[in-house]
Amino acid sequence: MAKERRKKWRDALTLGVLPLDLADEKSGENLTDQISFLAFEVGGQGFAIGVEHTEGVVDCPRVTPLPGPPDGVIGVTSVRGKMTIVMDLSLGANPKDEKRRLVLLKGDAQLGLLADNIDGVVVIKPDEVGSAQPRKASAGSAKSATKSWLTDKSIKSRGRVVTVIDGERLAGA
Amino acid sequence: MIEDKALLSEYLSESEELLDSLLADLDRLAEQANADPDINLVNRIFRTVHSLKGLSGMMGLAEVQSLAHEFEDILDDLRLGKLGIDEEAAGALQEAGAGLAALVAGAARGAVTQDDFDRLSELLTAITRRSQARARKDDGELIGLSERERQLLTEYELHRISENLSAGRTFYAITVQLEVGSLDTQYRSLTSNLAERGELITTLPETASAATLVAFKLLFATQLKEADVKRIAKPFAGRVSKMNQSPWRRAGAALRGVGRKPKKTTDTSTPPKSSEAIGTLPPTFAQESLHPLSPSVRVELAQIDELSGLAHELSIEAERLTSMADRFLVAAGFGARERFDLRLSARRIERDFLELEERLVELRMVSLAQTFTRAARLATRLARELGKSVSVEVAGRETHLDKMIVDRIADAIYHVLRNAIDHGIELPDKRRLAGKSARGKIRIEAGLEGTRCAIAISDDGRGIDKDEVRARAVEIGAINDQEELTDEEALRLILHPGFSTADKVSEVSGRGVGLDAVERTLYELGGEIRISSEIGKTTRFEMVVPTTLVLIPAFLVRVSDWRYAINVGQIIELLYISPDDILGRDGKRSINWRNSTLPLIELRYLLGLGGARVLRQTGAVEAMTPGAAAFSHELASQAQAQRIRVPVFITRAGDRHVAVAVENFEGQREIIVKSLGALGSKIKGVLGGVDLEGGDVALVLDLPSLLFLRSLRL
Repeated sequence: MAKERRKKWRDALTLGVLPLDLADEKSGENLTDQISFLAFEVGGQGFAIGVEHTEGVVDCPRVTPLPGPPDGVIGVTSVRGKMTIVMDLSLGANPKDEKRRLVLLKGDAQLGLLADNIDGVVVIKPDEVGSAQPRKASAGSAKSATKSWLTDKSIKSRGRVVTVIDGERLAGA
Repeated sequence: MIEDKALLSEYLSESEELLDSLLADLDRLAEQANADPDINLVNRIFRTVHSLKGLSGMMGLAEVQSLAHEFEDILDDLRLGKLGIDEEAAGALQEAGAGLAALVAGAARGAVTQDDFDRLSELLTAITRRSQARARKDDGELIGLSERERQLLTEYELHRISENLSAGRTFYAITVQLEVGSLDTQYRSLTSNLAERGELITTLPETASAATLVAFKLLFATQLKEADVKRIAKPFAGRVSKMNQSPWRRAGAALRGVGRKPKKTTDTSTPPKSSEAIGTLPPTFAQESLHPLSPSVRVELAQIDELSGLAHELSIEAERLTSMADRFLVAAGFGARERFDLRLSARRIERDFLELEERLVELRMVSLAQTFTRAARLATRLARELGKSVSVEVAGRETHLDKMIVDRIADAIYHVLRNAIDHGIELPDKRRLAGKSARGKIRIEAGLEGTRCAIAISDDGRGIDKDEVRARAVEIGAINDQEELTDEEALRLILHPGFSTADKVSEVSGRGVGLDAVERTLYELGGEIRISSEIGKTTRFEMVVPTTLVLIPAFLVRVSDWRYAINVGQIIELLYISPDDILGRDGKRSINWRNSTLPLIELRYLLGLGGARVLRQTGAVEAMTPGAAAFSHELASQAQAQRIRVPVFITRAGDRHVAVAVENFEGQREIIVKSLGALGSKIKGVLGGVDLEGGDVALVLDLPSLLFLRSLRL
């Protein structure tokens, strides 16, 4: 455990990876009745994912486009020598030119979620999880495919409502 | 039943290897039916069953152990010449071997009934009953050895002595003293030299003249003259003495009856010493041979991948360290000399890491031997079931491929093999009528083609009737009846989904599923299938796969600001063409290459990065008279040759060549292909990614499937 934590900190120092289990470390026995989410923003939309599904956050290196990618996938990049498939949940809405971040997910899918901003880790009680705001029906067919990664739940982060991502589903993608 | 999963998989994988070699050896034994069986072969079979017995005992599978023990008894009789091998006995042994294999798999999972045991047990008893059949006449008699030495001989060795005597061979005693340090290699070298020219009956201990020496006496039977034996023994400073045959005979009678303990009462939990001692190590070292013969360990593929990942992280870390150290050197005021040394040692580390990664890739390679052995056995069995007779020839067993490829290609091999026996090889009567031998021939072979491996399966059966194939293809709507096809194109129609010309569905094949699956598998692996056939004579399927999915020599090309890696095996030729060499209009461009017209496709189009570039002004040349056009053409190409040259490579899609245009050639190098993870299989046309300097990723393209995807079945 200590070894893992040391590795996380080493990564944080050398690669700018944000360790995400800091909340777990200090909350101790309260952990059972609290849930931690990582909230981030991409293309002007807010999302949140359970920290247990994430591995860390890195600066997103240049992304090589893939031919005929599945919905939401924009390409592949190399993070610490591992090929990582980059997903843009906003499907390219309002792309920013600035340096972007990548939320690395656990699991065999080797996925990373593109983020313009990281809000940080939000620790809440289960009853604070609300239902998602109704989405506009105008979403195209491509969007509906990515929508299957979204749950009907939402949480509050930095004063606004963000949609919770189905991390289990993504990890198993 | 074995509860521990890890233990179970260990047991299964180890016994699988033993069973494979057992079954293969029993097949070989069956080929020698009616003749005197090869003694080395029988010994090997004995040892395999013996190891299996020990392994099962260790796992607590008492029933398997006791059946293996019965099996061992039969083999012992065979070694001692008490049991002759005719076709029936060999067949029964093969069946018993297969039964044992089924039992091992079942028993480990606790899925074996008493009936299974009883059936195999009965079979073994039936074989044992045959053993009284041929008791060998013993006319051989022996002596020349001391009483002490004679007692060291086993029943088996006595039997071999009399066999050799009746064959009229001469006996020699070779006494050698070897240094302890080099004992192993020296001994092996001497005995293998001897084994080539006769039979080494046994090795008896002698008293050495110094503490650093080990001495023994080898008992050797051969047709060679004494001088020849002396020549073999000379490099080992061996003393050779010819044994007098008459005293051997004289003492024979006396010795018989002194004999050995009856076999059945010997402690069966310890191996009979004879089997371990013959031709391998002297009796004093018999204990040594109780250790596993193979000095290797088994490792899961995933563990190797983990190591590769770790090695890569380390190399990146080392790089970072070097650049940091360089900065410190500068800051601390060190000069060029120190920085040069630093860079030199950094380069060395880099090279070592690269080698480490390459070695790890090699670890993933396995030989095709096991797959081929199984394939050959399957072929023989299938043929028997269908009332056909085949001889299977296997070549290239030692070809090494990535374990993952071998696993995936196995089904394809079995499928093509089934087809060859079911549809290719005719029934014996039909073959005789066609003037062929009643026994069909199947050849399974593997060979390297650059970085790819071609696995070919050919038969000498009835061949594929192209007209029949055509008719069937029209019937299922794969082509229309006007379509003109080359011979290979017509043959390739059998790869079409839903294609099957078998009149009735048989147990073996002909269900219309399969050959398309075989083609799909090969495509996914970045390989291809080739078919050729001559009616009435032969059919040959050639499956070409990369030897490794991980480390490949690749050619890098640039398109739209991105670099892509292509397995050099998929590139037939690189050329620069002038825009004037491009024929046809946009959307249907082509070039002339080796006297044929090839379609020219832009890689950026295949990758979905955009359409064709404007490569020349159209219309100008076509409008002129032939003479003027030729003149203007020359001028234009001279002018444009300096301005624009289009890099093009030729590749192959199925049986057609295709020219693919890129923006730049970036050279060849060895690359380590990294998996794109679980999502990778959903991304067609890409085998993986490769890290480039500067942090970029180049996609490793799989051209056949990219071309296939874009439905360019040209």
